Amino acid sequence: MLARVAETLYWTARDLERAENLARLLEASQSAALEGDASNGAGGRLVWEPLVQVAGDMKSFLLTHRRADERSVPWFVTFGRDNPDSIAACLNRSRENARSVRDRLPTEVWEGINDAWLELVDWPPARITRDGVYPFCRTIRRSSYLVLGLVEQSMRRDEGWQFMRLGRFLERAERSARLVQGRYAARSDAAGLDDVDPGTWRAMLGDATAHEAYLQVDAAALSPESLSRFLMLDPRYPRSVAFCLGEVENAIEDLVAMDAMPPNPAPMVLARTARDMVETAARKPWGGPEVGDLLERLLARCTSIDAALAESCFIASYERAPAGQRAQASRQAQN
Amino acid sequence: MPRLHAKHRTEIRYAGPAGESVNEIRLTPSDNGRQRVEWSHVRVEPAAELLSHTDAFGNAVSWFQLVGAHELLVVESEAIVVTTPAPRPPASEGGDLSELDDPQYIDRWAEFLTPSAHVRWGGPVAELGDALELNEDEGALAWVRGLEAEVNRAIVYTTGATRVDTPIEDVVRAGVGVCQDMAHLMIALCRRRGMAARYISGWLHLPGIDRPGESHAWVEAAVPGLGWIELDPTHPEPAGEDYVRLAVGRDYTDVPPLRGSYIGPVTEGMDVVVYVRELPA
Amino acid sequence: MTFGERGIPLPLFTDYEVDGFFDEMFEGPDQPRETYRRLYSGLSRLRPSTFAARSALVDRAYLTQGITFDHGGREQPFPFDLLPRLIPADEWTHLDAGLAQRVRALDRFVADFYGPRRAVADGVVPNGLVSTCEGYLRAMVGVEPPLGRFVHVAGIDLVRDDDGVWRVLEDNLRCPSGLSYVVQNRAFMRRAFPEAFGDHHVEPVGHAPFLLLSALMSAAPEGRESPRVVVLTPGPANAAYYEHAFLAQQMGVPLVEGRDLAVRDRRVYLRTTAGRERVDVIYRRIDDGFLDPASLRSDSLLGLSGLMQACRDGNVAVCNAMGTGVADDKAVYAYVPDIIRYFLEEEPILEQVPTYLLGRDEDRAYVLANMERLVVKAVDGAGGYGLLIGPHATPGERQAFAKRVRENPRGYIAQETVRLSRAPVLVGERFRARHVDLRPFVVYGERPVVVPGGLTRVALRDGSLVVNSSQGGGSKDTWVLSA
Repeated sequence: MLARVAETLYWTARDLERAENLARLLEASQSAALEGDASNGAGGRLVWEPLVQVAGDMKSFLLTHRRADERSVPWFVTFGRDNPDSIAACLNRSRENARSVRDRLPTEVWEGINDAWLELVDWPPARITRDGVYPFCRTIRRSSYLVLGLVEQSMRRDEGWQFMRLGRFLERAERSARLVQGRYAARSDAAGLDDVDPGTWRAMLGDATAHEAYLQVDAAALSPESLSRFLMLDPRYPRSVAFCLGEVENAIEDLVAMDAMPPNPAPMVLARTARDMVETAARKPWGGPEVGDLLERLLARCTSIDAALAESCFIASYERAPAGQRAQASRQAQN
Repeated sequence: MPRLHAKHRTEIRYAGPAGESVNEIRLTPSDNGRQRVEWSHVRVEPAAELLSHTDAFGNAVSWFQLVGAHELLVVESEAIVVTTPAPRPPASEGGDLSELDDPQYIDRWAEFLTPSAHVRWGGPVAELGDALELNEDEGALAWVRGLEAEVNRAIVYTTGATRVDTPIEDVVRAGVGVCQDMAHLMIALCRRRGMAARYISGWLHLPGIDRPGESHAWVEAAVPGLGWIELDPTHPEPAGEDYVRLAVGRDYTDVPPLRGSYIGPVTEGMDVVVYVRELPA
Repeated sequence: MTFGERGIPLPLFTDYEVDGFFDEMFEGPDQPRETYRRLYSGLSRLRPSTFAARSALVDRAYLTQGITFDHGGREQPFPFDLLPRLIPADEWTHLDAGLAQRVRALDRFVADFYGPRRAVADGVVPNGLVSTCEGYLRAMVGVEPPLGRFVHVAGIDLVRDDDGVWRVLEDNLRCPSGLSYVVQNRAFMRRAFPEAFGDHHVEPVGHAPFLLLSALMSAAPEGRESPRVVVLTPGPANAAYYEHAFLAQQMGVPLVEGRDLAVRDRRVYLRTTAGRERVDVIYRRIDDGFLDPASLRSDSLLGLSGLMQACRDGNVAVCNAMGTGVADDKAVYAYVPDIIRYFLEEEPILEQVPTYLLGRDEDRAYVLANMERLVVKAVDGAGGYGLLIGPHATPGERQAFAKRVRENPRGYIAQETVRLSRAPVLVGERFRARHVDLRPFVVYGERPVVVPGGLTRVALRDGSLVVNSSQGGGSKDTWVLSA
């Protein structure tokens, strides 16, 4: 498959996943901030700062905002102009990319992505201030699930589909890992490990569904350790880092089997070692500073996989369409 | 018949790593009636294989590609050329201006009679042409030599006032330019009158002056009865043995010393140094 | 009794006027030509509203499938008229032979011009004319494409005058467009009007993409076992992008943009996720100058640096080769009959439209004296612009044009106004006569093959002679009937 098309599909899926994750986490943070420890003035540290860490970069956030609170962070995450990974920015990019490879996507999938983007038009930032964050996040999540469903139902499992799968799950792995990293650090600084605030767990799990899934596995122990273990290592929960990295590895293997990637490519080696790290961690007792260590190594590994893909697979095809290309292309005479 | 040793070095600096660079060099002199090339060599840095071909105007072209990242590109051409003075026929030789109307002349030299990228003769160029008082009664050669002198008078040689892409109309309006501009103007006024004219790029030896040498542009006009005669509106003296021809075309666009394309940051700077000296016989 | 044989009127054709033009379908009022009698009688079995309803269905199908042409920034379906245009077998034999001959000669001419230039030396075409063509690409001088072939796909525009004589109006040898419509129109016809096919033996056109692919593969440099072909498009912003994508998909080859390709060691490669793959043939839909920013237009964002040298080294075939514009220049058109005689030593089979070269004194004098009867056209890029249809222009417009001609005679040619033939086109629930032309496609692999029929283009406005898609024309399916 053309390197450019593969890269474009990869990013279409990745940006869409990023937008959905952020919408979900924003929604969860919003409810977490209303209860328990967080509502007593500790919201900034317990809820909003960690969200900034997951969604972007604390340093660049602090360049334009004085502190992380219930006003600045939602803005930053949804439409923040200073945030290249805001929900709006991600949807924009995803749609632009999808449009450029429109003839490689089933019509319905393209239309679904286009509709998701069109939702943004109905949501001027002022409306979020007025109506709050929930309706917006819910809309974004629903549109993105629709696209996901269309992809699952109507796309042939060819190279294009595999690259989208790769992008989606690599993004999800990274996002989950960062989530644990942010929350875990926040939690262990504060009150003792036995004192667990239900509100903050919910924020850590991201949403009610995750909470329910967790309860199926381990209802008794509600601790940062067990929660983080669940999010990192559960082999069945589709948002766990282990699950996602497994999908990444499978996608790469399938691509190699389709001759869409050269045998034993660098990304595959990296994905396998990531899996090894996870499996090793699963066999040992969980907790303490090793968790932080593992998180850092896994996050680094995710970045490396992305870089290896860019170099070997997408053959770093320089910039996207340089400015002016559309105008020039439209003027070509077809006599 | 001097033996001239010329060296032309172009250095291009990029504001960061550049790559995927593909280029064409037109800096290799060829043998013709007025010069014989004893030896010539082109090299580039970073090193690259040079592929040679001859273009539509008979110019020697070297093509090369640099894939990998580099921040500096050096192109160097060196040659030893034996030159002879151009013939200087008396004004009475050659034909009449009326012979420019000969359909065979027009058909043969059509591409040097029509406007080209840098050469147009509307507006200010036409006005300048009308204002010049050139003698049409003493033959085509006298006419074009007169034009040569007039262009020299009309434009003050000034470096830095114009750029490679400065339109000819601006040159005329401002009255300043360099050899490229003066050559284009002379070509425009020749073509306007119906005389075929073309652009020559080359090296100029400056004997006795304490300067290394020069990249230069001058003109060739098809004078009825005599063929292509070299003229230089920048120094209206016979294009003699101090001139080494590199390439010829309709105008500058056909003969850039270096053209190409690359992917990367802007060009920070470009330096060209030309050095021409006479060797012992 | 054969329905519709003699003056039995059909409601669909109420008030249809032949009006002194050559009508493709009718000899006289309600009198279809022999070729069209079965079609006419078939129509008699349909209610007018049925025909209109089927037309509407086809329009919607075009829109849903996104088969559009970018018309001034808006995507619109290319209007399609459901009544086919018929060409009987014997007429087609003549056209087929004439088109193949013409394309063969033009290819030889281009190859000769970038090579030994014998035609110019022998006075067949004046040097002055060809060397000042906008399509003259100097970088191609001395470059020999594989097998010496320059032209691989041609669209030759034909018209019929009011005596019913077929004439070549214009050659298109650079990026001729419309082949996808030929194939798609036929597919839609089958669905919308199946009963008509039962009454006729129609030469198929569905294999046209295969013919194109064969021609492209045979253009590959020698020694390449299974040549890799790609379609090079300027991208989705181009008006004809739909066609580029369609043809690539039908031929089963990748659709690529300039940035998907790379030159290494003067060979062309495709950037794929599995590494670089060699490319042997490029079916390019990008204008000459934009193909190589290193050697040609340095401002091009669409091409591939190094392509020119890869061509020079014979490592890739560009189809159509760069530089073919010298042969489809409107001024060179006047010399094509002589070109055919010189290169093929045959008499031209197809007639042309009598053409005057305004660079020639006698021609110019005649044209300036008769502008109200003639069509004056700018020769691309020789500084001319526009089109004057003498009989339709005001005296003011003619004067303004005459001034331009006097200032730049090389920039213009003039032709007698051809009273283009007309064909019935559905307007509302009735047929009305509209002017049509025909663009057959010639695919030239080892030998020229003409796709049966071609694109019949329709000027949708009453009285208009302008048929091309960018200015609001439409099309019809064209049926070549087997003997």
